[in-house]
Amino acid sequence: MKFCNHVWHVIPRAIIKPLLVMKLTIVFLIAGLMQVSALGYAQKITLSLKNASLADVLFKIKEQTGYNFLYTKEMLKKSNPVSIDVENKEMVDVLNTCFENQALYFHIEEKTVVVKEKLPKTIESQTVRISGKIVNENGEPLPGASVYAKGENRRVAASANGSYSITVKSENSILVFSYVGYESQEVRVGNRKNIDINMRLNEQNLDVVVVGYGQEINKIDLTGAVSQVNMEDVEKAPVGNIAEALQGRIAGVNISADDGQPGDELSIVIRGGNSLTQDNSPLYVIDGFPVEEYSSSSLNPDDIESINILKDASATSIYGARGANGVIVIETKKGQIGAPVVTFNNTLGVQQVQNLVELMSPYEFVKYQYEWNPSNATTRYLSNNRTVEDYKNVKGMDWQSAIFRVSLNRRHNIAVRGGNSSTRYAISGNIYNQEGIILNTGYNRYAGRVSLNQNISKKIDASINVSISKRKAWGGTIREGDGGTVTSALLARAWAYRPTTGKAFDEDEDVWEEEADEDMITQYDSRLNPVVTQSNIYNPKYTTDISANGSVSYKIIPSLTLRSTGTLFTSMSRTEAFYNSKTPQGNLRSILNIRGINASVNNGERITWSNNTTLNFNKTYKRSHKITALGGLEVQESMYKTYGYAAQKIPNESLGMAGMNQGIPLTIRSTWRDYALFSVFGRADYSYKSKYIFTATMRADASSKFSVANRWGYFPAMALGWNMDREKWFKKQQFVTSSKMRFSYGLNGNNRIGEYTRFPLVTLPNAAAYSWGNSTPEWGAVVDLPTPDIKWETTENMDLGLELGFLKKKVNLEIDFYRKNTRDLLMNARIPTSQGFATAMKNIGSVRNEGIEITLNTKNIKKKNFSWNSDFNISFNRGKILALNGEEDKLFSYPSFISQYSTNPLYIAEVGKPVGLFYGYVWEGTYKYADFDNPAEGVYVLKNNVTGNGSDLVQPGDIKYRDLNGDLTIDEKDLTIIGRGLPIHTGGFNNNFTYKNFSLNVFLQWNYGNNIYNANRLSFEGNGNTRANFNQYASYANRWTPENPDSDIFRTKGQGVIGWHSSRVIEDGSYLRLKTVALNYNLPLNLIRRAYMKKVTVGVAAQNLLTWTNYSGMDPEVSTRSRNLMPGFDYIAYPLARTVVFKLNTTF
Amino acid sequence: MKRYFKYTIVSLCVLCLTSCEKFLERNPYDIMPSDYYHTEEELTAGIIGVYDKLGALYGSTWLYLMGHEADEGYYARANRPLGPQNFNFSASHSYVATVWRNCYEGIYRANFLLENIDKNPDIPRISRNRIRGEALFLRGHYYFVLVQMYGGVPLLLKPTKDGAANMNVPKSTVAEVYEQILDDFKMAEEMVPPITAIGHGGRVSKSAVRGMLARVCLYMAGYPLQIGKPKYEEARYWAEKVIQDAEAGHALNPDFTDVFIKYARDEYDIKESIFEVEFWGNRQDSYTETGTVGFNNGPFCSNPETGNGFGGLKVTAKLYKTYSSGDVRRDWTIANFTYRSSGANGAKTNITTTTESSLYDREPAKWRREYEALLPKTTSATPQNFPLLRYSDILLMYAEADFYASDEQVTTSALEYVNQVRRRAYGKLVDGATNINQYDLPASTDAATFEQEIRDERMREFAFEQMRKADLIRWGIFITEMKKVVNMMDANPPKADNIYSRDRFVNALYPRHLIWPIPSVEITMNSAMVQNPNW
Repeated sequence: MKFCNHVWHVIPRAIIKPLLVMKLTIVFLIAGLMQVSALGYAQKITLSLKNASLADVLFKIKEQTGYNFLYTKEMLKKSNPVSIDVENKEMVDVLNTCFENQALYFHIEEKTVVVKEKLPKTIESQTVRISGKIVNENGEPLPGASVYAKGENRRVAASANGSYSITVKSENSILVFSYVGYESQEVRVGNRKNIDINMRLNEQNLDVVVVGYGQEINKIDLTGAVSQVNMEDVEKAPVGNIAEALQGRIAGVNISADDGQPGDELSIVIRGGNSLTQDNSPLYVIDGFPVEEYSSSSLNPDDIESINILKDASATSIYGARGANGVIVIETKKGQIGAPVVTFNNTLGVQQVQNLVELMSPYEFVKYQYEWNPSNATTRYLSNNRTVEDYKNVKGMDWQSAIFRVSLNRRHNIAVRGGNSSTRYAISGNIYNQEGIILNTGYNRYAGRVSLNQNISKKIDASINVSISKRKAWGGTIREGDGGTVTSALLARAWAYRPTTGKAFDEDEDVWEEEADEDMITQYDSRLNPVVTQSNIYNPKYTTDISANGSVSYKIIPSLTLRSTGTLFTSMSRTEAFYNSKTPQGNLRSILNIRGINASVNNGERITWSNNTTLNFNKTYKRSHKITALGGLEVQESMYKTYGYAAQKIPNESLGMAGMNQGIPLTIRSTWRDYALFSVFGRADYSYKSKYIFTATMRADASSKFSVANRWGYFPAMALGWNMDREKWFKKQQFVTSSKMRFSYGLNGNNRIGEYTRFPLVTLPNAAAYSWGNSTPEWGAVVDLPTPDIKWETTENMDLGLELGFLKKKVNLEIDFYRKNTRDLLMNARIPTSQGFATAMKNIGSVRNEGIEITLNTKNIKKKNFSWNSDFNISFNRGKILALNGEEDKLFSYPSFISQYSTNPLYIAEVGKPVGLFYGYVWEGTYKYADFDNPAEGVYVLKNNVTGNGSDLVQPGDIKYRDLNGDLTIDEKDLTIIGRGLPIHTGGFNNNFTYKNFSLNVFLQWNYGNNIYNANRLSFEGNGNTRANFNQYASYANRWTPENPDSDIFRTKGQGVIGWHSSRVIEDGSYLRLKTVALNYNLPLNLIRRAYMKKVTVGVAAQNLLTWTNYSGMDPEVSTRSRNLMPGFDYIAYPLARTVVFKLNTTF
Repeated sequence: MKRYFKYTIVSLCVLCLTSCEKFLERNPYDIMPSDYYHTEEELTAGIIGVYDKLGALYGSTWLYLMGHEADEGYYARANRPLGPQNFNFSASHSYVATVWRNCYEGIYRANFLLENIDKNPDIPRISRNRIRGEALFLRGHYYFVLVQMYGGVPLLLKPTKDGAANMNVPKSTVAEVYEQILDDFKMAEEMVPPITAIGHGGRVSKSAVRGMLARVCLYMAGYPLQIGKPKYEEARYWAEKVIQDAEAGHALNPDFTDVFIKYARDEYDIKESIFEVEFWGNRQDSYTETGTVGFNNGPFCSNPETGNGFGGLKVTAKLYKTYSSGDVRRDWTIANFTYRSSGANGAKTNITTTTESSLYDREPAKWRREYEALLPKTTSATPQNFPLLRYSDILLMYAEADFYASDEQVTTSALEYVNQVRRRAYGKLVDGATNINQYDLPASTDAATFEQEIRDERMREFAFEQMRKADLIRWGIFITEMKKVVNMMDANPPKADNIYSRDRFVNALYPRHLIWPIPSVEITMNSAMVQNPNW
């Protein structure tokens, strides 16, 4: 390669014409929209021209590369004609040739070639010649990077392979290396002739934050609490749903799974839940389009370019009535200018259950059965002169293991992205296939996306994005079970199923095939074979999301852009269920089934369209006053339709769903619902030298959900930012590199109620039918209670943030304090039932959430070959109910599961306290012999001064509760708060290590201070429902017996009153989880280049690898009932899987 | 340029704002009340909605978990005796809330219908009045249930239309509630058709209203209002109207057992069964209009051929002993058998032992699933109707009212009506019966005996029709009679399986059990509400 050896003049900035500055500003802004991609610079040029004007040549280059050129016609008038003959040469080299004999020079800023005039040459002595190579953090060359010597007027650009050569005055010269998006570096020449430079990404300056409606603000000018997700880290997690990867990574954003059911959505709560009975999930904004009913599982994580989470009023108020729960702004990947880049990413791995619960062995089981009911146990297990001891040698059947499996998990992504200056495109496809760790469960996703951006003219840009996501989850929702009895859920059946039937020992093998435990088909309990039932379940849920959005933007004048976006979003779902004769719902021997073999289909379709038109204004006056403003209108309409039908007594089950037509028609369901939203909004940011920043936002929303009188809601917000580091006095010290303070205050809304809450409706439900004179029942009319004047829920949101960078930003700390007061809660509130209704939707009650979020990023080690960066975040949120429903100061919640336990409240929400507290008796172990008088042998009478446990005949070994008021009876007055469902703090600790081409990501995540109600233990650690032949957890072997009188686990049948909740099964739910570990190796460039590949990464990644917890259940990340009011309830949850995958990512 | 856009935006805004209201006006894809109640069919749908709550009220827990059976039986489980069925519960118990809510939901629906009934004057007045009468009667009936169980309750006679309205409504007095019931019933009496025009007991007829008027007046005459004679006279008046109604032609079904076999078979007998809660079907189709009569309150049975029975109740020795041995009602009302768990429909094993202790093991068997005609029989859902008013009740009410209205003189007519019931009980009304007057109460019966006989006759005739507790309370002898059971149990304790049954009767001795507490949710949410004494 021939070195381009030119003299580049450094021009004092003051001389540059103001016009140029403005143009550059725009160019930078445009550039800011695009992503920096080293690959984009590998532009080959083929050109053969003789004595052509420079303008023509540049035009040709522009055509071939898609780069923008910035120059004035006057400049080019002075240029010399150019002759050039190159084939497949790098653009930088070609340009160097072109500018060889010109009074002009160029440098490259992102995707723009800026042409400038050289100043008259001064005479200088050329004393030292320096050459070297400029590479990025991955060792890849940075063509176009500029090099100049401080105080000297020479400037060169690095060639295509990153090499440069410059002459400087002396050994004392200081070379400055710079490149857009990278930190400038200054190096004293010294006696070196060769200086190689590793450029470092300048993270802060690069950061552009999308704050709403496509408005982008440099992070430095941001006044709001906006968390940017580091996509590079997130991509390392081997998960199918982006939300899983975000868990624990962002302060103030609490993401958790209800359980491990494949394909389930995760719950995302930002800065504590505002609402008690309504939805607390955030608003999603996908490519500028706000969606309330969004499934993050529909997105292919590989398609995501960026995620910003808006947390405070400054950021969210632009979304007005829908912003109170926070906003997640997701931009998908778009094409980049340059040759097509093909990526092909694959993972293949396995999943398995993290841990199983240990169950009783046949010996312990029979021993327990003998205690429970000696005569029954003798008949069933001790016939043929067998003794309990004989069972010590029986292996037993492990039903739990039989329903779990090691399952396969794979993901394939293929994408082609590229473009030229006028057209950019991105096409991607994704297959995600996850078999569940429970038999016959799983989840599939097929997703595709096409994005096209077209410059129609200098002023007009258009773009279109189309995506489709087809998903299928199958195998039934494990945590829901199929009825209200103890064994009407798969896991309960597996745990309860006997490890031995007591038949001849060798006959037990046949039991695997049997439909049910014949001894246990009763009126209350139909013990069906868990393996058989689960293998026969057919309950797929299909979802297809299609989204298409297009936008046109028109640059009216350089500082003013009009943009209009239209979106059509369709989500179609279909749930099929076919219950054949071997499922609990279809087996006529099951007490739950009165419909025989039955099937149902339910279809749902949501179509939402929206249009928003915005006017963006960006201008900097006198180089100090930067004004960014946006105003816009938005309309949105959404229609939801469902249809469903069912059939029973289906004669030919072998036909499956296809034979549904032969059954007896059952219910037919249909609903239509719609809503419309019209909004006007505006935002203005004023920044004085990026030192003092002021933001004002206003949104007015009008929704069809509210009556004309309450239709409009107004949501203003203001915010202030102060970059202290820009003050002169600040620079006097070295320790703190950067410091920013910001404050915001504003109002947000929540409109998550039904579409027609304000209307009285006549419904004709099946349930209100009545038969007269033995005629077929006729529908009856029922009137719903409307609330005509329902209005928005309002959240007053305050945030104080502090951002500090220490030691040249090696350590960055961000602290946010916030307080949210939510009033006029949209609450499905209880009313006096004498009105004829139990509840009505009301604007009543208020809730406060306040907290602290701390994020700490540190660059711990930065060596040439080794680096270690870490990110730590911790969030504390404290919720407090300020007022409930009128006079009501307590709100009890009843988790519905086993019927006897569902009649007593387990949760309390009380004024002055946080939501989600556990409520019940304080458990005190068991009654010991010392608590009793012993008037005769074997007769134990509770002492007069010892409180009973609510049952009539208390015996040693029975469960014991604390008598709080000391009145010697256990009753309602002894109920108290016995735990908290929500954590004290949550957080994550992320570490990235790189060593040469290796990178290692280690991510830990935790929850601290919350309790879990392990409802499984009610049945499986003490047989609380007193069922015969019912297996138990192994822990129950250590129960109280006369031989084990110190045990706090109650004796056989010592459960006390059935249906009471106590702290016995409340456990510490804190956990620390090694959430993600990913080890990647980038194959050396020289190796892969021969295979025409640009990048090849191989690796291994694991999710949920290790969990440290005291929780005795299968997994502490669990909440199987309403998250708002009943957090931390564990009953028959699908445990979270451990995943290990191998990864092969290739880029062509 | 800028100006041009300014104008565009402004005009766009104006355009949007004007069309905005139209865009934002979204009406539900459902029927709104303003568009409803315009045809007779729609009014009929409205009244079905009011009837529907009868199903909810009487469909399940009423039959065995409310303690209505008082000294006749008990909820027999080897669990700690909790809940209203064991007289051990608090105001927050879910049944306390459910009964209240079912009644008030029915009242709301009636009120809403009444408000809209005359929207279309083109619907024939007679049709509108029939439905109006039914709505008024049912509203009155729900208030009648409420006032019996909770004492004074809020009288809501207009439907609430706004979830945010003031809902703090104070209690009316027991007297006010009863007056309202009388008003509603009397208006209804004029509007509803005679039972012969209906042909079954499932819809409100003149006979039903008159009979229930008699009952309401009897209740008003007794505890707690204790109005006495004037109301006895009124009760007699209404009962007599039913008896004398030649057109309706009410008469006893000659065979007591056939009354209940008919319920099981879904057959009607409008001479005997004047008003009943209708249940329908076996859930083999899309309807869920089934009840649990025969399942919850019948004998335990696990034989699907016979029809599963939960066996929710067992009887007291007191009930058993109230019958004489020739009384066919005894072995029909109280099972002298247990159903076999397999075999043909109705396969039984007879119970032979009659020791007093063992009597507590017997189960009520008035409603027997073995007679159900609708096949297949579903496990926990039955089509059997539940009687609210039978002709024998009219006769006994007449006799009782007449007795007190005549200053405790035993009149010939009173004696005759009681004896009609007795004759049937001893099989004297069936064809070919001889010595018809064998078990008649003699004309010489003194007042005290007559009073006791009427009370016992009601127990024998209506056991497990869930009127016993209300009867005992209005007679002012609830605690005394419950105590008798305790004494009997102490003398001859029930078997160990029923170890807790005694506690139930001991619990019932607290005077507060004469009325239920106001549900705690009502107390919490309605600031004008006051809890009943001792609760």
